[in-house]
Amino acid sequence: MRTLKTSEAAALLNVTANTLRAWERRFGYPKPQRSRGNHRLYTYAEVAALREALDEGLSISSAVSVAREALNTDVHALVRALGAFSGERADRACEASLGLRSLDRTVEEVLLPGLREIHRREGTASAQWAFAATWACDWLRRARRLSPPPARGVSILVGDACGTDLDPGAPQLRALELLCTRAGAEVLTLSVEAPAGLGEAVAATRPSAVVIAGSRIGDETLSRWAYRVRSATGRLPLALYQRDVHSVGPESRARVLSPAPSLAQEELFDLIDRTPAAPPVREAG
Amino acid sequence: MSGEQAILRAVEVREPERRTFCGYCAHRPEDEAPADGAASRVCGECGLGLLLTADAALAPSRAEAFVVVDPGLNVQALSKRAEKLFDLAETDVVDQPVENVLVAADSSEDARRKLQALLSGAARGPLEGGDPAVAVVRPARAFGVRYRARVGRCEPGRAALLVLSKL
Repeated sequence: MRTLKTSEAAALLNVTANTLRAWERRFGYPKPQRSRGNHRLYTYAEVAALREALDEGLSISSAVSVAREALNTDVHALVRALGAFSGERADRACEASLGLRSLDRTVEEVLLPGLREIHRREGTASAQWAFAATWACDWLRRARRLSPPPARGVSILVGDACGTDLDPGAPQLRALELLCTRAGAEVLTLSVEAPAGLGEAVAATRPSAVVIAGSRIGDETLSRWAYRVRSATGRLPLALYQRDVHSVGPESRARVLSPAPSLAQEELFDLIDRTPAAPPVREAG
Repeated sequence: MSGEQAILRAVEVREPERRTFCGYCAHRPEDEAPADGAASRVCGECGLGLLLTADAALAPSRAEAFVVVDPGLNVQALSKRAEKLFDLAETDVVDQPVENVLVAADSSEDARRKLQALLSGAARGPLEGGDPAVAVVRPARAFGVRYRARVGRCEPGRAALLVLSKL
């Protein structure tokens, strides 16, 4: 998700930062997230939609209403399609969004919010969620297969602790894999329930960082997998994604990545860039 | 030469005077013509309204309450004064029927239809000079209070402007 600092958002709308904060108080829009330093981060799509709506608006209130509606159109279409178990219509909703947004923004502003809505309405034990989560993971894998080959010289090993595609963290993880791949990294995802042969995987890919993603698989299984990886790679930057931070166990020194896949991807690459040199790969024990 | 001047004088057309004002606080910026581009239409005084344009005879002063209505008769803007007058927040009434905010002072069906036709016609009609139409209205949730409303077209787009003053 592309984000803007307050000054950037204000410049795009040609208003002062004070006006932008006044709009947030009065209209609740645009509604910023907060950075780790507690600074406002505005979603580009929200600001861009408002800028367009202001063009013909008669009041800020009416422009905000139009901007909100514009942002929600594709999400509503996707939710309706998934609720009707129609993968074809869900594909079309995402294609419509791709006409307006980049792939990255479609994932973060349409696909994932649509899934959250299904999850909120129906719960994980529903047929609707089962269909939606499976469709989303398939869609994200397909998009990843169509991405350009890795060009950055960065390799990431992901320990998938989601268990199945029905885990609420699974689509988030698929989105992170996609964004990392599109940013030029080579991403290898392996289930943490299958530690045998990890040394060969590490030797083949020489990872620059390890990510453990998902909360479904317990600490004991995860510890075994992490131990095997550590034995094969030595000390590598380690990050946690979509995992309960209270159950970090052996990876307690790990960096916890933000939930938004684009922010998580940036934080992960930052973590890799800050690491001085790749350690030598050892034989697995 | 003098004959040509006489012809030029005969076809001279005076453009109706326009006023630009903030759709929330009614502030009138010095630059009367709104600049191109959406963002520049934000009021530099309050930051909470967009700059609108109407005939000079219709445009509100800072002391007057006003409402902007679209051709579908839904509220599109409520001024700061109107918020106080009706005890409503603009954010709560935007996109709601104008009848939730104000109605014809005469409670008859005929008066109701006439006000609707006036607003709809003003929103759809051309921006013309001359005196604005006048209606008598009251707040939707109050009786015994009447206001004189100047009604006419305002821009951008198609919208009707009702400027209220005490009878």
